[in-house]
Amino acid sequence: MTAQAPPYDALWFATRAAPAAWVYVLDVQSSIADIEAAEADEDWPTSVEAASEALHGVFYARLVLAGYQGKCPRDELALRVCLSDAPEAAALRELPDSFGAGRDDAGRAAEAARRAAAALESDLPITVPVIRTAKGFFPSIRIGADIEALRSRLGLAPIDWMTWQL
Amino acid sequence: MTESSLIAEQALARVGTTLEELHKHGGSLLTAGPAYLVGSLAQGFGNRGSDVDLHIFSPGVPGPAPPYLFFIGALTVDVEHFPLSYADDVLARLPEAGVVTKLGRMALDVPLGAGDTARLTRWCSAVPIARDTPPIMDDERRQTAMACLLRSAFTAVVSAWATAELVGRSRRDAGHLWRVCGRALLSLAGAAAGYPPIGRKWLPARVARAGIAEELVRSAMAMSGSADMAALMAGLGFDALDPTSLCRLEGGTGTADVRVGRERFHLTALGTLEAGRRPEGGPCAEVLARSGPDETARLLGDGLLRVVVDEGALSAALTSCEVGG
Repeated sequence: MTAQAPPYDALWFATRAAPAAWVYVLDVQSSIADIEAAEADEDWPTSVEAASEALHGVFYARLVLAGYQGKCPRDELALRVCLSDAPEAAALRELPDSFGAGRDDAGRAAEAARRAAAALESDLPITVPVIRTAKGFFPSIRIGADIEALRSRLGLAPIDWMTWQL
Repeated sequence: MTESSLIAEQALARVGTTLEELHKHGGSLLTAGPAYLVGSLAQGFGNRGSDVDLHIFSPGVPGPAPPYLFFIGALTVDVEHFPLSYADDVLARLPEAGVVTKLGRMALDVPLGAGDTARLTRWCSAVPIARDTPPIMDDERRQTAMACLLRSAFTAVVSAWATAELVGRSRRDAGHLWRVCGRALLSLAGAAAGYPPIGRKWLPARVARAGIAEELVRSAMAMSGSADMAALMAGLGFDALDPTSLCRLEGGTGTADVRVGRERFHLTALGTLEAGRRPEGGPCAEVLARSGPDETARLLGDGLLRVVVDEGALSAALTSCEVGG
């Protein structure tokens, strides 16, 4: 079960959707911001790399939605990307090489990353503000605390939030 | 202004701030002990979207503390606190034993986990943010640290190579894994030139800064099989390495055998319970012979098995590649 429409299964929400939303915050949001920073510098190789990181984040978040437990070692992630039929895996396999990448390569990579990130966001039942900003930091922490309260009510152990990142 | 203050000012200018502004906003958070700028900005990379990463070593901190963020306008400052002697304690664990390869001195032991290895990378290029703060390590210890980081980068190459080799023997397309392998090789070459791995997105910048030959970059990124990889490794001074003999296959991350009464199951990484025990691991050749290449690739792809580098066997192989040895 990778995505749900309301009414949500509370266990799915607390054990799959919430960690996936956190992967989105820690890995996808930040990498999308990295794309923008690299584009501003016209640093196309770094922009392609940031797009790759964003796609890896989306791929991992979708694994978490599908039930993946905990941190995914990078070697295992590469294997899964190599062998998976998921659209994000295909997008990663088709990314242009970052070494020597130009504006067009970076544009295509960024578009693939933004499309995958938007699709993931729309499959998540909660929207978490951009955490690494003055405006979003404390609201994000508040959402984390609310999720902990829900987990406690359902008899689940507290989450180590740093687990849910690449 | 001291040399380190100048380096810190130049790094901070890249994100539009100054040491004075940093101290003004950080206040007592930054004066709890020796404080250092670390990460991409300290290593000379970074762009206007980069965070300012700081490590502070403070008396009374019992262990590495979770990161604390504060903001200067749109700029994120990420502060991590450590016990006062934490860096010294990590450095004291680094092995003296090493082997001189064509790429430089490599440690013959791997005493640090992933977290401390990442911290060690950051400390090698850490810049004090206050006058009179000594560097985290002297030149001699930095050489020892770099030997350890080079070994860690080599282990990553062997792991990526063995993984690509195992999938390459099946009917599945291993192209993506050969690209990963090429990246690991370039990361190793960057580490050998004094630029150990930092954030993945800086790999092209790190390779460029390290002055890696364009021909090596092209060949690494065009790699499509084991023969290509073996040739590139031979060029770096590592002849006749067999990655699969330097690795084992073990139970996948998050998997476990589960017994419920008389029934036996195994828990998969995706949280399902499958009937029977987990697939058996062992030396790569043994698993390949038992399961065949296609099934081995499937078990790897499903996360039921994982590749683990045998560090002892790798140390022995590296010793045989010693320059003049």
